[in-house]
Amino acid sequence: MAAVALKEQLASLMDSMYQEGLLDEQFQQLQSLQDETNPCFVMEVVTLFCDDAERIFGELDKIMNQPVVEFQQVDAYIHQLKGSSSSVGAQNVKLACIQFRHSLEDNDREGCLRALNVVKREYLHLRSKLETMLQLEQRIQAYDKQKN
Amino acid sequence: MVVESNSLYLFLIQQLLCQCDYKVTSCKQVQEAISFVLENQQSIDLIISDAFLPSEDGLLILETIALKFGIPVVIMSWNGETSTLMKFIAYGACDYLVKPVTLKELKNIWTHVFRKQIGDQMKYLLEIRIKHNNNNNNVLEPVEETKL
Repeated sequence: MAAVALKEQLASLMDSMYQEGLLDEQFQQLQSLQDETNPCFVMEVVTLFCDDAERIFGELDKIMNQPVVEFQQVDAYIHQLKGSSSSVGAQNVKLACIQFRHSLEDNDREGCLRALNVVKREYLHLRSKLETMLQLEQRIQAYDKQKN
Repeated sequence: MVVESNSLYLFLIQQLLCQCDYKVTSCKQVQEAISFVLENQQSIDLIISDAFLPSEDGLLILETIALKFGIPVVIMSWNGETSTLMKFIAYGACDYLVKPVTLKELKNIWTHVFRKQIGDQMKYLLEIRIKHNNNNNNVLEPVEETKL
C-alpha cells in the first residue's frame, strides 16, 4: 500500500512539474531511456546537469564581480547552460537563459545581475523538485525490490 | 564518432547511440576529432558533429574530412534556421539534425553509411566496366555503344 501511495505522490509531482513549465517533452525522452539495463539513467543525467549548472554559476559570479565585466564570456557560459538545460528538458531554466542573453545586449551590469538571479532562482526551484522526485523514485524502487 | 563540446549533451547522445547498438568514439573539440580521424580513418563509418556556432567550426570537419575521406558527416545544432542548415548541407553535410535529437533520428542514421557504401560499390563496378570496355577496344573488335 505504501508503494501505491508513493507512486501516486510521484505522479502528482511530475504532473505539477510539467504544468508549471519546469520540465518539457525532452525530460520525458530521458525517462523513456531508463530501464532495467539502465536503472539510474535519469539520476545520472540530473546529477550531471546540476554539477554543470553550479559550476557555471560559480564562474559567472567570478566574472560579474570583476571591475570590468566581460559580457562575451558571460554570454558563452549562459549559452552552455542553455544547451544543458535544453538537453535535460529544464524548460523554465532554458527560457530564463534566453531572457538573460537578450539582456546582455544592453551590456548593463545591473540588468545582467537581475537576469542571473532569475536563472539561479529557476534552477534552485527545479533542483529541489528534482531531488524530491529522485528520493520518491528510490523509495519506490526499494519497495519493488523487496516485493520481488 | 560524435563531436560535441557540452558534456551533458555528449553523455546523452552517447546513451542514445548505444541504445541503437552503434559503437561510439567521442571528442569534445573539432581539432581533436580531425586528428583522430587522420590517424584512424578506417575505424570511423560516420561522424555526428555539432555545428559549433557561431564560429562554425563544424564546417572544418566537412572541409577536411567529409570531402577528403568521404566519411559521411551529420551535423547537429540547437539552431534550426534554414539558412544555417543549407550552408552546412552545401559544404557537404549529408544531414542536419536539430537538437534535441530523437532516438528515431539516430536509429535511421546508418542509412547514410549504407548509401555511401552503395555509392562506392557502384563507382567501383562502373570503373571495372569502363576498364573492361577499354580492353575490348584494344583488341580491335567491333565496338558497341556502352549503355550505362
